[in-house]
Amino acid sequence: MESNNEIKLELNQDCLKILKHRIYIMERENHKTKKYKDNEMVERIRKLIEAEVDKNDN
Amino acid sequence: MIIKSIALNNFRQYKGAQPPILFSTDKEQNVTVILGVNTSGKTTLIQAFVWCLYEKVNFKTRDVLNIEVAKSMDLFSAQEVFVEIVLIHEDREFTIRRTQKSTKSDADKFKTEKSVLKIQFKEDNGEQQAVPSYECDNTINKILPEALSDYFFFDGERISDINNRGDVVAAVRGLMGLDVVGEAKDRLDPNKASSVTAKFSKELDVGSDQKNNKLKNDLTDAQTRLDALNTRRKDAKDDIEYYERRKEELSAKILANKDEKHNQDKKLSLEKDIVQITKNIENDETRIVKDFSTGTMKFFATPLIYRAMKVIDEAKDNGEGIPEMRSAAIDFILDRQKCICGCDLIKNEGARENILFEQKLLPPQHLGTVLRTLKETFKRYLTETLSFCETVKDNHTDYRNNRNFLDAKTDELKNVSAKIQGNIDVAKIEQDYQKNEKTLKDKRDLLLKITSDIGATEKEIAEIEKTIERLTIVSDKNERLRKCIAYAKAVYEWLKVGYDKQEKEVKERLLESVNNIFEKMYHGKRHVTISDRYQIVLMTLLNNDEVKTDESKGLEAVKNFSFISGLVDLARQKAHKGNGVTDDEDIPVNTEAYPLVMDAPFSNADEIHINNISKIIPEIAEQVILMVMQKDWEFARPALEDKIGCSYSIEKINNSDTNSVIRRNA
Repeated sequence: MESNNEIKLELNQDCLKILKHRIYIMERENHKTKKYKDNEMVERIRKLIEAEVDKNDN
Repeated sequence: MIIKSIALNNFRQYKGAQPPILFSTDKEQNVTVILGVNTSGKTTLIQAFVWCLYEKVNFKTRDVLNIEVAKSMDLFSAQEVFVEIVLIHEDREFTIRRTQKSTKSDADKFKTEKSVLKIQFKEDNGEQQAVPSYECDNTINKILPEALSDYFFFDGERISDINNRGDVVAAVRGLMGLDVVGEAKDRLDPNKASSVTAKFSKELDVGSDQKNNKLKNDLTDAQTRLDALNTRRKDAKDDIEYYERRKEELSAKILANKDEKHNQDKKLSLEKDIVQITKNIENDETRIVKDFSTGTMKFFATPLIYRAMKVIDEAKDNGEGIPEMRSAAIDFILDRQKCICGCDLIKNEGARENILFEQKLLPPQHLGTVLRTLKETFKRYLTETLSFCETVKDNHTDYRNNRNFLDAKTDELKNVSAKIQGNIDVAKIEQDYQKNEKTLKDKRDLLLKITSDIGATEKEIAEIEKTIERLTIVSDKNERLRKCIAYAKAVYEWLKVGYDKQEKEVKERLLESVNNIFEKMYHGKRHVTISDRYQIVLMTLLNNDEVKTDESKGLEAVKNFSFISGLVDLARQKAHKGNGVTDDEDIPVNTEAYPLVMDAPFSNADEIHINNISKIIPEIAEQVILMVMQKDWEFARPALEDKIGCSYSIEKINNSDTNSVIRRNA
């Protein structure tokens, strides 16, 4: 069964705001410390988004 | 960031442990001035900052141990060099010390160990906390990234290089906090194969159909290609910028060396002329030798010939025999009994007698014919002698003319060569210019092609994404992934819009700030423009057109100083505005005020500009540390006097270049 590509997802603005803030802070910290490599940062951001989406759904 | 102090021990010409130099941290009197004569150690002091923070030195040798200390060391004894900086960063006091130990291993040899960096910071409760050694470099990078260090620890000589520095864009973005946003944006860019968004997309379930799954691979391929194309576009843009700058430099050189070009063309033409004249002279010499060797004997024999002719004339025996005929030839005819006309000499007695008569007129029976032939030869000799004189005279005239011509051309060449000696080869510059033009055209064509390929690839990606979206089956997993993608894209858009807005604002404010500073220092008709790549150019209005203008060394220094000061000023303004997330529209950028540590900032500037620069420096930076020559200080002092918090002088001990001390002025 195929999904309807016309469906627009309604994003939770609070959730979006939290994500923006956390991703930026995470990047800023890593820019200073260079603690994580590119792929590690991608993974961290990905997990952060997934966690926020899950939290929002529950 | 504010620098509280620096302490040196055995660092270059600073022999032994020097008392710490305490810099002014006062907000009003924010200038620390360090005066010194040439070679006293002003540049060394700035190098001490750079060595302590980044282990970099700009000296010819990497040895930092004081020479006098090194020479006085006993075998197997050790000495230590250290530089310790105390600074405040993000309201926290850091003590940074780099130490290097050297042991004398032989009469003239030292074993120098790798330098050790130690950092401590004061906790809020006042206790000192050591930064783990593996974190030291990161900590320095946090405080002042090495890429930006040249902008804050610079000397007056290097300041002129600012337009040719490859890292200006990165440095400005870093200073304004844009690099953090740029990195975050890249990690969420849906068009990048390795981005968060792309990773979510890859996980979307499109069923078990192989065709559908192939689409996901196609998407990854297209994104990877797009990544590579974007890198190539950036490289092509960088190249174009480089070649455009080179074009300007070469044009300026050609224009500036117009007279030089004329002289070099003249030199080439003279050299060609000289080669030709030298060849002519060689030909003249060959001809003279040849004519002389063939005609001289006859020429010098002329009186003898006249005398001989007189004798022949007096002999009155000119002879009537057949010229050049010989008696032996007649004997041959008589022997074969057949005349050359075919007449049989046996049958024709008359003919035979006639031949015998002719024989009698020939030598040896008769000398008349010989004499007549000789006389004719003499006459020919005399005629030739007459033309020989003319020929020798003409050859000599040609030779002399060519010699004089050669002398004149050689003198001229010497004069022209002296004018261009040691100067640049304009013909070579013109060749470089043509080569540069061709490369520039090729690069522009390449950029067009890459841009067109990027457009096509983006379209391809959009189409694949649409198809995948259509094929995506409805499931909880996909629903969750689609939400994640939507959030990732929304954050990406926010970062992208914010980044573009911030960069635009940075450029506008930087331009404004740089021009404000420039106008305070320079009171002419010129103003500064800043390109997209942060290249700074001086412009002037000519017949309502903005045109690029030439720069003197002094003006270039003012221009570059304005740029750096503009950057520091902007960082200070941004830092004072505050950091952190404010609302959804604003992207947070993290900046901090920076000090300006300057060695010979007045280099190449005249007294008016020194005065103007001096008025501006304390206003634009939180803290200013100046290393200045006494002669420049005379002009800077009136403008800076009220702003000086601390003042030091570097003294050479016994006028030595290897032993200096820094004393605080009263």
